[in-house]
Amino acid sequence: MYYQRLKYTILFSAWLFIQPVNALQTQTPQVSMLVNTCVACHGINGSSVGPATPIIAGMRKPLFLKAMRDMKSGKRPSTLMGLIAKGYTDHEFQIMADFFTQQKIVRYPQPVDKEKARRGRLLHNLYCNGCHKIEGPSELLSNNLAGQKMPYIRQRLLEFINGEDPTTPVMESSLKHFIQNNSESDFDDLIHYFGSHQ
Amino acid sequence: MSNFTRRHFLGLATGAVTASVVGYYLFAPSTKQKIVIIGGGAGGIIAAKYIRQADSTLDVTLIEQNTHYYTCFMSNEVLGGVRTMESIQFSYDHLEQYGIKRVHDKAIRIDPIAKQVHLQSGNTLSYDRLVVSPGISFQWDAIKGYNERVSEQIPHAWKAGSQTLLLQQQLHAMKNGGTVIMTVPLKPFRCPPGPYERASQIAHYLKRHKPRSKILIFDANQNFPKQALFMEGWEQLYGYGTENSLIEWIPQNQGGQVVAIDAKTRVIYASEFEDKHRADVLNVIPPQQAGLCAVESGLTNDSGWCPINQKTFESSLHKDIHIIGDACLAGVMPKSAYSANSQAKVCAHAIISSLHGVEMARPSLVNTCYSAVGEEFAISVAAVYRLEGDKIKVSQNASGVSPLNASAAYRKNELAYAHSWYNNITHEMFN
Repeated sequence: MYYQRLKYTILFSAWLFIQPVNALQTQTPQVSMLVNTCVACHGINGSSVGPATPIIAGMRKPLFLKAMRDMKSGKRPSTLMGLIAKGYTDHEFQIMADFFTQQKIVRYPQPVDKEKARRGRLLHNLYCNGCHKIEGPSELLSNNLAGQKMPYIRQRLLEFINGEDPTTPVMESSLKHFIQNNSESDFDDLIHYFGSHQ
Repeated sequence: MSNFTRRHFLGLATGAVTASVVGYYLFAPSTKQKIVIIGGGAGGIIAAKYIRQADSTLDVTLIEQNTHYYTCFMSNEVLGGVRTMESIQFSYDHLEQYGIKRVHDKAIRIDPIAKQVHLQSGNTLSYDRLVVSPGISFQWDAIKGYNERVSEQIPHAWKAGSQTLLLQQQLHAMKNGGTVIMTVPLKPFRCPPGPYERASQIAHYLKRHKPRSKILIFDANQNFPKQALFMEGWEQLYGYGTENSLIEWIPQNQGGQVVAIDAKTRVIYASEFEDKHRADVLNVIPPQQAGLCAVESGLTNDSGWCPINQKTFESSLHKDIHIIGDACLAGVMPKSAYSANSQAKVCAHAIISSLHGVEMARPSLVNTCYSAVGEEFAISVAAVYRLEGDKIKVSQNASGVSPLNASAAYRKNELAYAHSWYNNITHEMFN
């Protein structure tokens, strides 16, 4: 009883002591130094305001690493991200991945057509939900699509459809199947559905 | 007996701990460390936020003379008619929520010995550490016939706001078939691709509203960043290389360097031969140097810019003063908003580390400059930097520009990314 009280007293006092420097210890300087430079394009803590640079907050670590490695090598097409990725080591990618995967996603409004999004939802359930679960917990290796920037999703899907990105064969084959059975308008509906999540 | 001792011990322990905790707050340095930041721009605002967020016991004050901020970056799109003045206007009110004090005044002079900043109002502010992010000032004596007073008629618009509006109004008032002349100073200056983006945007405006007009770039330089890319865009969009081209570029060796102007007639005199050229709208971008308070406080060297420790951004000339953004010499980093943003974060960390007596992390910096060339067409230059020895250098060859002959989709995407960059960097500054 007394030892319990003593323990709690000491713990409480220790907690009081660390208050002023708490802010410094939530994120080490080495991590901050690397991720601070991403804000200007990808937003505070990786949640991009948009319209087009993608949200990287909440990205699954293996997918973050794959994205940076594939763009650095040039296997995956990009505008300037491949160039930026060249500036970092693989170890630094790990540090960035660990940081961004923990960040809460903030989804800023996008110009979504509600009718298109409604139709897109049906298409998503038919073609994408198997791997990209939105209404439930995601499969481990699939990218978060809910509320991602629409121009970015469009660009990535086109890269798979046009055979410009050989790094993810499953996406190429899934989209081939989609394109065979659907129109450009359906493709647009799907993108509006992903963008509609707030 | 043992019960009494244990209780007594508990009482003493609690009392001691409470007394020391209370004592810490009562007798801790009663003078909070004062951090003062001069300049509420791309560098200063970020420095203030990051310093204050890293340690909320610090007294952080931002000195900014203007009540509103107009971004010079993307202001060229206002001239192009692609965005409005309102879209580049921002307020400083949000700084309150971070506990950042704001002094609406002009910093005139810094006393590095007394560690005080003298303001235009006559007040002074003491500092323990000072961050100077004053942007640029103009060398008013460099071009004969052009000075600060003349700039109220013949805008430079190299600081955004009323100057941008003035140039826009003059473009709107110009007749179809008129000639716009823009003069570019010798490097280095704020925003290396800026003049060429401006020419592009003005050409975009002329193409749609006054297609028989022209913009002539009189350049003191022999080349410019992303030159091949700009020219590819100009060929595609503005007839560059044909006799109907909306844009002409006159480099230094073809008589591009402007030596004098006549404000009343809007005539420029270029090259050693003083060739006369008349403009209907004249935009003079004068040679530049660090912001005035830096120049007048002994923070600059012969180049007119501020030498610094490239790891901490501390002045090489005066202790406890850090300089960031356009005003400083940061190795190979260009003078841009992105650079200022990146440098501010490293500088903030350096100051915090120094105050807390800990080693700072290895600096890592980035710059990306987007140029909006025209409709669905933007280009970029980007690089990652780190410290090598005592100089900021490009990291692992990560430096380059957009590819030539890229697809229309590529150029369109880069414009969307340019706007995304703009939204995200201003969101970080003003929220």
